[in-house]
Parts: sequence; structure tokens; C-alpha cells
Amino acid sequence: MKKDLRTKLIIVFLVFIGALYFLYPTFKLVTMSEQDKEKMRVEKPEEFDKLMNKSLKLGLDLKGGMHLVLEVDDSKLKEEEKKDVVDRALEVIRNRVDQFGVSEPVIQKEGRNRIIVQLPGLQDAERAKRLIGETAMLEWRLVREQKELAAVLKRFDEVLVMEHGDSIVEVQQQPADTLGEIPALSEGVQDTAGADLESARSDADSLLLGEPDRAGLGNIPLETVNKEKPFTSLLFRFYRDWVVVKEDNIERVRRLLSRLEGMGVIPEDSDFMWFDEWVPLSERGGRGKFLFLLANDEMVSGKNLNNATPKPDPQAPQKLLVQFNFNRTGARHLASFTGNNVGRFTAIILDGKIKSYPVIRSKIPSGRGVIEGNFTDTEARDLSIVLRAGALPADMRIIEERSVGPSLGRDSIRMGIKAALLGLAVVVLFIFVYYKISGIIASATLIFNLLIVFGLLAYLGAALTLPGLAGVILTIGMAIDANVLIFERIREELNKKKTVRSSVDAGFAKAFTTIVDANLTTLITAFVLWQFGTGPVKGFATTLSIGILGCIFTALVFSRMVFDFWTRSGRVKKLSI
Amino acid sequence: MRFFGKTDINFVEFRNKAFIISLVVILIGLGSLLIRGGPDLGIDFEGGTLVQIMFDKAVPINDLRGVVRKAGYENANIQEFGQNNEYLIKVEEIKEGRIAAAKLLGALNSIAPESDWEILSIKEMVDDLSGDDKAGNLIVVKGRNIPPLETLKEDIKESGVGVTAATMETENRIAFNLPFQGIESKAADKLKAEISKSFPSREITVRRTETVGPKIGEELKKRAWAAIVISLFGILIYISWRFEFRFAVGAIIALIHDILITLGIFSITGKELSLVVIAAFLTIVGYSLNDTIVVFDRIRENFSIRRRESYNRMINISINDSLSRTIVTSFTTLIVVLFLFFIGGEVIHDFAFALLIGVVVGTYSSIFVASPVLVEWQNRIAKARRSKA
Repeated sequence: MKKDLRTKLIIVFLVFIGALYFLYPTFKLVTMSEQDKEKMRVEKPEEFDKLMNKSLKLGLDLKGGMHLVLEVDDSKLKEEEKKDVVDRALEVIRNRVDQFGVSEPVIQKEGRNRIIVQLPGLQDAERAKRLIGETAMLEWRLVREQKELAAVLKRFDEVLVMEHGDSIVEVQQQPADTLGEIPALSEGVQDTAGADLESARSDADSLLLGEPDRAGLGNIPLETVNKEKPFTSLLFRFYRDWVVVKEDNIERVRRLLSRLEGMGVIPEDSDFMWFDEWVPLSERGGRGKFLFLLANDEMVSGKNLNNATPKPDPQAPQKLLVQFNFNRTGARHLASFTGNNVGRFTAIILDGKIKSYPVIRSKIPSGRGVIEGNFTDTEARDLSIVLRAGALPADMRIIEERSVGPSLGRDSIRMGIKAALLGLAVVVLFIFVYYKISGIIASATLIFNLLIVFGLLAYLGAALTLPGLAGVILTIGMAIDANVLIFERIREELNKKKTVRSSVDAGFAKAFTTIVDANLTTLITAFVLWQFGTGPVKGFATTLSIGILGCIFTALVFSRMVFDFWTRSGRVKKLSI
Repeated sequence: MRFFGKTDINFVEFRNKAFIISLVVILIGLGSLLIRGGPDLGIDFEGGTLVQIMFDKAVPINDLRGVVRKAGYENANIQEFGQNNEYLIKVEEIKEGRIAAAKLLGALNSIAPESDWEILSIKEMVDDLSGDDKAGNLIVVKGRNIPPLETLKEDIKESGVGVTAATMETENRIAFNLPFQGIESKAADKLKAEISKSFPSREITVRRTETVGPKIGEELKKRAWAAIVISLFGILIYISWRFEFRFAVGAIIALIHDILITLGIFSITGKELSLVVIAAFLTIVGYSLNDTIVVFDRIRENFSIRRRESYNRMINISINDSLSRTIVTSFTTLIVVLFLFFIGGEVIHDFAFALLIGVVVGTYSSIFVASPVLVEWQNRIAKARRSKA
């Protein structure tokens, strides 16, 4: 018996010390002033990291921050590309987040094709999403020359007339809007300025007859201005090596292009691509877009970038552009690409969008280039980050996003702790009134249990979430139950006029199976919750489970030990219970 | 101190009245659920966006409603709390099947325009827990002289529409699986932008935003169901093993009773089910079970020591024996849950509300439902035996 008691004492002591040991870093961190923390962060970063690591971690819902679930869309990839696409995407995202500068980010794979990203303490959610989700595929592609483009366009007319001559619908537009004879287009080659463009052709009122078909779910009618030249009559004019399409006709041209692509008329080695910004066509407000024919066999990909930085635009210092550097391989490609194509236009394309279309003045041996665009400070910086970190191997979709502002997190902690302390105080008071000195033992058991819960959480590195905090509070109410069971049994035994000593023994013995059964069944539901829950719910299940285990231990070992010490001499004739 | 000494209340006798009370409460709840067309599911399960926003000074709810409408969310649900300065805006996710179908049709028309493509059906499929990758929009199309499937599939991919699978259903019908597009609405960003634009003189704090895609929502729904069913099943097995099968049935009936009542009260009060509320439901299951087991344990013990009493009497004695403990534990649990409910904060409010109902109903059911089910079971068996004999 005595030996048994000593073993219990040692176990309880070890658990107690262990809980305190695991909680010490948290205690130190919480009691440290902000200045001290800052000082330590700067002076002893390693020690600080260690302290942070060993402290009780808070979930995003308490700390504030952002939780993203991304899905890798490999449906557009070929089979052999699909294999390690998620791992590659994970690597790229990790790079980007690292450069973004968030402390303690979590980036991990989940399931087959998902990635979880957690960014604690983040303020600008939109920016973070852009930074993570942007594919950042950079390409330089050669713009096909005007005569090549003209030949393709001419063929379009022929093919369309031949294949669909009967089904073409004419819409009335002023003929002056249209391109005119193809052979006479050479005037456009001259390097006309933007001003010239604006006054180029009269922007006569181009009225459409009937509503354009936007349903998308029916067949696409072939609408054009001139049946003889179904394609070119929709174009406004040539400008350098590309064509201008007026706003009214853009949708029609798009449709025709996708149909022509289906017919296999677009040359294999080229693609059509729009420049996404509007260009003014006249003083009266007409506008249009540029349509380029780009080579897909003569190009340099941005795979081999090794650096990218925001720089002020030398021509307009208030504007920013992003300068990038290729590595040796990339630089070699760029040098031969530019060397072979001096005087030609290229398009710099980011994520399928033309960013700019500079002319190649000379060979570029340095491997350096710039991306123009009306970038703001942050935009330029973020673009640099994503270019440096590399392109994502596939499109990413955000399928879940949760973010909590730091103020709400702080409020939650404050209110949670308040509820916990008040609840604890009232429960302790009640249990003392109800069970007197035994009630104090029960309260000690309860506090010991809380120590174990927090200590284990810190040790396991499991984050405390708001539902987790609620779980702790609930544990306060429920952990007392084991003691209540025991005490009620002891009271019953005492009522049977048994001695204190044997009443205590019988009380514990009889309550034992009840406590184990009752708690194990609760543990079943807690385990299921842990298995199926995500994030905060998992946190709740974790604290609940630890609370239950702690409850069994403290009631059956700790509480028992205290009672044994109290009553073992046999001198206690009346138990305060 | 004690609330009362040794009691001998005839709970078992009261069981028929208790069954009627429970039945009435459950029926009222079910009626409310029926009228509302099922439980109110939050964005966790339905998909959608939630934005919680705080202003430095009060802003009339109607002003905010106008702004939200301007951002394009006619049907947004706006809830206020605090002193008219904190609001919760909820927007439902748009169904994306039609968008995906339009994209697919566009691609098909450009690849093989002469096939006269037509959409036959659109269905949003979700992941089951088997882990097969079937999730996505299932779109069935009709067309004439369909080109070979493999090349068609590659061509569609080439034109920028993702396809996970394509199967020929008949000679002129194909079923395509398109992946979910995910959150295209960007509702949270749009709402935030519109609100800060419309109240330039107010200081605005975005307290919380949550966006859940429809796919995740469906998955979470399945998980929640699985969690409830599996835990009930686990309990059934455990109690059958530790006690007897009829005890397990009694416990499960009591648990279903508790969940139905809580669900009903949630429906009547117009509260939404979220992930956290489901967690609370499972906690109720755990708590109520705890109570039930304590009584059962006493019943088991009493049966092993005094065999002379009648079955009804034994169960009644057992309930009375453990009554004091039941009341004390319920009381302490109720105290902390009340604190959680009143000062735990908005985020945890519904969770605490569910627990509050659960503690009360769970205590009631372990006395008036779980054990009386044993009595009924025993009586029926006895009757059956008698009629046989």
C-alpha cells in the first residue's frame, strides 16, 4: 500500500513537472514586454525562434491570418506532366511565400491535388491571393510580319466564303470602317504615331441591326459586314505588324477566330492574341483593340530567369517597370532570338496576356529585359517576387479561403479567457460550498487537469483554436464530473456507517468503471471529430480528447493520492465532504 | 451541503408523459424543419462568402444594404450586432455548372461546328469519400458525326477548357467531366472594395472573411454526416460490448432524441448550421452519453447486487441513486456553458447555444428517455413471452 502510494506520488510529480516544463516557454513569452520581445528577436533570433516554437501555438482564428485551400488544376496537362505537378507547385508557392516575408507560414499538401497555405497575421488578403495564385508564365514571342499576317487574313476570307458562303449574315456597317483591299495595305507599315491612328478613319456611326448573339449556348452565326470578305471587312486597319479591331466588331472577330481555329486554317506555328488595353481611334471616343499574330516556334520562355526587380522607367521616372535577368542558358536563348530578329516586333507575355510589344533594336547579349505596365509600387514588387520564384506548373484554384483580422482574434482570446476564468471561479466556489475540503481537492484536480491540457498542447505543437478554447472551458465543467461521481459514492458509503478509510476505498473503486466507461465513450466522439474535422474543429477535438484523458488521470490517480494521504493514518474520523 | 438527500422519485412511472413531451417537442422542431425545407445550412456547407465588418461609428443597416446591393449581391443576408457598427454579410455561391457548360459548348462549336452541338444535361458532382476523382461538372452533350473522342478531348484542352474525362455514351452523345472552376465570384474582395468606397469617412475594420467553394461545401456536408453516423455506430458497438445491446439501443435513441431537439430549436430560432455547430452536436452526443452511461452503470451494478426487485423498480432505484451526481455535474457544466454563451463572443455564440440546449436536453434524456427505453424493451419481451406461453 505504502509502496503503491509512493509510485503514485512519483508519477503525479513527474506529470506536474512535465506540464510546467512544457508551459514555461509560453509563460515566459506572455509575460515578456513587447520591447523585450523585439529586442530578443533582433539580438538573439535563434533563441527567439526556439521560444516561439516551444510556446503554445494559437490557431489562425485567434492569431488572425489567412487560410487558403488551393486546388491544382491538372485537367489541361498531359499525362506525363501530371505526375509531380502538385509537388512542383508546392515548391513554387513556398518560394513565393518565403520572399513575401510572412512569419511561420504553413504550406502543405493535402489529399491528391490540394495545397493548404496558412499565413498568420496577414493583413492584405487580396494581395496574398494574387501572389500565390498567379501562374507567372513569362514568354517572349515574335510578332509575325505584316505580309505574313495579310496572307493569313486573305486566306481566312477565302475559306469562309468557300465553306460558309450561304450561312453568312451581313450586318450593316459603314463600309468606311472596314479594312479595304488587302494588297493596298502597305501604308500601315509606316511607323505611324498614335495621333495618326486617332484620325485615321472616320468613325462613322456603326449601327448594328439586331442584337448580337451572346447566349453562347446556341450555334454561332457568322456575322460580317461584307459577304465577299467575311473576315477582313470586320477589321479596322493595319497598324505596324498587327491589325486594329473596333470595339463593335471585337466579339465577332473572336467568334470567327475560334471557328477558323476549329477548321484548322490558322497556321500551326502561330497564334492570334489580343492586347488587352483599349486604343483610342478618334476624337469622338471610338476605341478598339490590337490583334497580333504571334509565332509559337520562335520564342524565349521565362523559365530561365534568375532575378527580377522593380525599377523606375527611364523614360518616365514616376512609372515603374520590372527588370528581369536571365541565367546563362536563358541569356543565350535571348541573344540568339534577338540577334536573328533585329527590327522585328516581339510580344512579352505574362500568363497569357500581352504586357508590351517592343521592337528589337539590336541583339541583347546581357540576358536582361523589362516588363512594362502601369505598375504601382506593390504590383511591381509582387510581380518581381513571382517572376523570381518561378512559374506555377499548372493553374491553381482557391476553393476555400478563411481569414480573420487580428482585432477579432484578440477579442476572441480576451472574451474566451474571461469566460473561462469566470466559469472556473464559479465552479470552484460552488464545488467548495457543496463538498467543502473535498471540494478543494476537486478544484485542485481541475486546475491540474488544465495544466496538463495546455502543457500537452504546447508539447504536441497543436494549435489552440477558438473552438479549442471552448473545449477547454467545457472541460472545466465536465472534468469536475469524475470527482462528483467519486464524492457521491463516498457519501453513500459514509451513510452506510462505514469508516472513512473504507468509504474512500469503496467510493473510488465503485466510481472507477463508471468514470472509464463514461469518458471512453466521449473519447469515441472526440476521436471521430478529430478524424473528420478540419482546422478549428480539429483543434476542438484535440483539446477535448486531452481534457478527457487528463480528467481520467487526475481523478483516478491524483485525487486518489490526495485522499490516501489525507485518510491513511486513520485519524480522520469525519471526512469533510 | 446537498441539494436533496436520498430520493425515491418514480421516474419510470412518468415515462409515458415524458415520451409525449419529447415527441411533441421533436414534432414541433420537425414541423419547423419541414416548413423551412430542411435545416438552414451556413456557407460551410452551401458554399458562399461571409464578410464581417466593423465601423468605427454606427452605420444604418439600410445604408449598408444599399451598398451591398450596388456590389451586385441582391440576396445577401446582413446581420447586425454590437451598437449598429458591426455587420455580418453572407452571400451565396453561384452555381457554376451553366458557366462551365457554356465554355464547353463554345469550345465544341469552334472545333467541330458542323456537329450541331447541344447541351443535354448539367450536373455538379462532388467527391465521395472513396477518393476517386469524379468531382466536377458532369455535362452531357449531343452532336452529329462526332470526331474521335481522344482527339476531340485533346482539342478541347488545347482551346483552354479543362477536361478530366470524356466518355461516349451513345453514338452521338458524350459525357464530359469538367473540373470545378472554384471561386470565381471573388465576392469578399468586391464587397470590401465597394464598402470602403461607399463609406469614405468611416474607419472600417474587416474582422473576418470566409469563402467556401461549392465543392468543399459538399465535401464538408458528407464529412459531417459521416462523423455523426460513425460516432453513433462506434457508441453502439462500445456499449453493446460493455453492457448489452438493449442498453446501446436506449443510449442511441436518447442521442437521436437530443440531436433532433437541438436541430429543431436551431430551425425555430432561425440559426444556421455551420461546421462548429456540428462539432457542438457531437459534443452534445458525448455529453449526453456521459450522463446516460453513469445511470446505466448504476443499473448494471444494481442488477448484480439486488436481484429481488422488479425490473422497473431496479431502474428507478438506479436513476435515483445517481440523481444527485447528475444534477451537480449538469449544474457545473451549465455554468461554464452559460458564461461561454453570454461573454464568449460572437464567433462562438451559436456553438455555445447548441451546447446550452444540449446540456439541458442531454440531462433530461438520460433520465427520461434512455433508461425508460430499457423498461419498455423489457416489458415488451415479457409480454411476448407471456403471449407465447
